[in-house]
Amino acid sequence: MSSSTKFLTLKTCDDKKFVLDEAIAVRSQTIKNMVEDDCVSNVIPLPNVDSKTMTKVIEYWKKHSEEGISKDMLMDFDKAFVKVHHSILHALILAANFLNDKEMLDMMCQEVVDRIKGKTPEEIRKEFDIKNDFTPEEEEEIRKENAWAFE
Amino acid sequence: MDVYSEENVLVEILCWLHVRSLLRFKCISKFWGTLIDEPYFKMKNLTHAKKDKSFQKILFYKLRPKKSIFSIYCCSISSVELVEDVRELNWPLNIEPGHCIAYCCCDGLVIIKVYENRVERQILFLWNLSTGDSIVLATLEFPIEEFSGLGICFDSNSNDYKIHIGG
Repeated sequence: MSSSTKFLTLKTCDDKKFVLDEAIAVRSQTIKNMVEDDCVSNVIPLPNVDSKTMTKVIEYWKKHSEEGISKDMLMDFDKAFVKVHHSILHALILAANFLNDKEMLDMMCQEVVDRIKGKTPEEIRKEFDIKNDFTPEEEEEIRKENAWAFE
Repeated sequence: MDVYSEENVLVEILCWLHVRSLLRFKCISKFWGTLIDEPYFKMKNLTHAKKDKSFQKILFYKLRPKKSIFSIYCCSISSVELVEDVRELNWPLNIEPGHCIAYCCCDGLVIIKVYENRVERQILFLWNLSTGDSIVLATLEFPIEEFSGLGICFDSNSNDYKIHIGG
């Protein structure tokens, strides 16, 4: 039994390496499972995450692992953390989903929800760059069925 | 990024939304529309809603004095939204009730009996308050004895809701 800190090396899809305290890295359920199943040799590949996103994820993990940090401080940190451009938020959500960090995923999904809940379909299409593949008649039909939701 | 995880993430995000927003977003694209209509998504959304206080609603009705018609309202329980969020619901089936009784509810489904003065009949119906959909359970001739017991619950064996009527 060793009490010394164990480090893991994570490799992102753009071949950047991150050395991280195992106790922090296991905030990711995906990594935790790998460690527990003894699947970790030297380097853990993260084929779905790029280094820019991983830097942000690690920033989040480290802050949330700090000893003695108050709830208020964490709330302020989280608030600032999610105030990023839509594209970064999107990448972070995909990363949190792949890494299976439920707490982080929930927090960021909540941020997206706050951004979209009051919006019109047109605004959502614009923000997420979604192509409307309904014919005008089909769209009208759906709008009519759910007219009260547009009031 | 592969389509599978994109869909996963969209599901994760959309299951936080209230039904009203979801209904609005059904016309964004076919993909969104199909996803929102999936039974598995609906179940996930419901599971999520049950954990979130802002989804909880109270239902109340009052008589409009001049018209002798009952109006029904829905508002959020969470105090922040209490004032702004009182919404008058449109009765389904174009009914104009002179009186109504809500028997029971479960997961936003409510069983209501209304008395219609205009045509002297009673209708017992199941109403989904989130979507506005309704099913007539029975039309009853006037007058009728009250049901002694009426209940609704989710039956996980059949993965559907069951209504129990006691005589």
